[in-house]
Amino acid sequence: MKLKSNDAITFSGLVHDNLSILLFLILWEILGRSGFVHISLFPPPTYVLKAFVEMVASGDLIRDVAVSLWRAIVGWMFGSLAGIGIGMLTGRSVKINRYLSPIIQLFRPLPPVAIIPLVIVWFGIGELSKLFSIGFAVFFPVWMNAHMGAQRIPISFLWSAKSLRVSEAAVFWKIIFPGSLTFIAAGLRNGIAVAFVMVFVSELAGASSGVGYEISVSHLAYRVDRMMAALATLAFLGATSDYLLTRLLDRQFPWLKYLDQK
Amino acid sequence: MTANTVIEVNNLNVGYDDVNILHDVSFKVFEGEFVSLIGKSGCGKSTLLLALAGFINSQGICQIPSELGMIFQNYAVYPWMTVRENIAFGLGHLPEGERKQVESHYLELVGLVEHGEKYPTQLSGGQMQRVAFARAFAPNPQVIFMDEPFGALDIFTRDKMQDWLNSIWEKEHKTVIFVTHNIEEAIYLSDRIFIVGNGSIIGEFRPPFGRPRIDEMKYSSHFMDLKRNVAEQLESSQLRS
Repeated sequence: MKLKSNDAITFSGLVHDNLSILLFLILWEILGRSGFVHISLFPPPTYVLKAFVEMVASGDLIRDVAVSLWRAIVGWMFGSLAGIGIGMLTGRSVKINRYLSPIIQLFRPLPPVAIIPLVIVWFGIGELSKLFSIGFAVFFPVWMNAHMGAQRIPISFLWSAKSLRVSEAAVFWKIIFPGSLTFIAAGLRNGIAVAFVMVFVSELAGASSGVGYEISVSHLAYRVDRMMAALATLAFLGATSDYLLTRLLDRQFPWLKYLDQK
Repeated sequence: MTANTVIEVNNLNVGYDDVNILHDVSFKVFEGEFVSLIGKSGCGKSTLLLALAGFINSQGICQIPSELGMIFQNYAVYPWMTVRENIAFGLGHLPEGERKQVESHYLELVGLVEHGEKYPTQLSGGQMQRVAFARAFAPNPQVIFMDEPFGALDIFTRDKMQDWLNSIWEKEHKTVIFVTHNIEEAIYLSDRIFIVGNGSIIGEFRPPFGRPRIDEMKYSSHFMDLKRNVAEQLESSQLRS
């Protein structure tokens, strides 16, 4: 397929799109080498890159990334499925909203990090506690968005469907669900960011693998370059996941981008 | 020849809390008639349409076919469905071959054949409203309700859409109830006009024009006189409230 002119990737375009990152790296390199702060405390990006290559070569980072990614994705999926399902129900049913929303609203302001000690007591330091913590944290932003999306379906959409005498199931799957999708997409993207925060925190609190664990071990060994390499990896994973989700949504639901342009 | 009564309304009342929106509304609409409900903003004309459609609670006797089509001012076409999918949305009961045939017929009727695979947000306001018309007409309902369908369009598009609706109506001959606050539009399109004021029907006019309607008739003295009479009746309803 021929790329349209505005889709073409050019060197100049790449530079402009990533100018802030390039400037940040240059400033960091200059500051790191200036001697203003000891190089082992504030290693420049080239040192961090060297540490990164070492970690990749030893296989440690790849193993940690695989474990963290698995935890983030599985936790995010469970939290998102529950958030979307319950959000749709509370958004559309006055009765269910009346019974469920108060308890959800009670837990929502709770910092998800605060439940980790309790979760460890309940489930130990294995995978279940990490997945539970991530899923718990992801649930709230996804629920809130799905709930609001389902509530904000224009009434004329539903009246039109009623006049066309379509089934209740069709109203749900073809009107309410897609009609809530712009909100749900925002919730899912928010959920990804939350999932990566929770992966890091739950791996700090008790784990023997994962990027968060790597940061914790590097901290004990006073290897700031390795800590920074692991942090950059975590940031990259979060940003890439968000990008891939956006692409997936655009591909599955092409009308979303036309809605943005209108 | 006496036309069949399609809609019969007797003493229809609609109220929220202690506020009476509509009271003792009674009228009949005959098969193949184009009837307009005209009134000022807040007079209850859209409420009357929604009550007739059964979308809001009402008291009184209201005999109306169960098969009806609905067109709204905000188009209410689904942005996540293509034009073709929107038109086919109410045709799920038909076998696939027949569904495709009906879909294509209405796509052609509303002049959107080349836009069938587009999403509504890629279309202009007038085109979006034509999708809404095609979707409402496609399941072949007995009655079509139109709630200020051209209200969101600019004056030029609105004029074009009136002519277009006239030509569609000539072909389909559906029973239509059309809500508007535009006197000229009501006269140009309708067989009968009900004046809605203070929550009830306070007057009725029959535009004395044959069909098909042509744009030039808007400049005739008969048209102007009728326009003045309808305006005066609307004005008097305002004074009484």
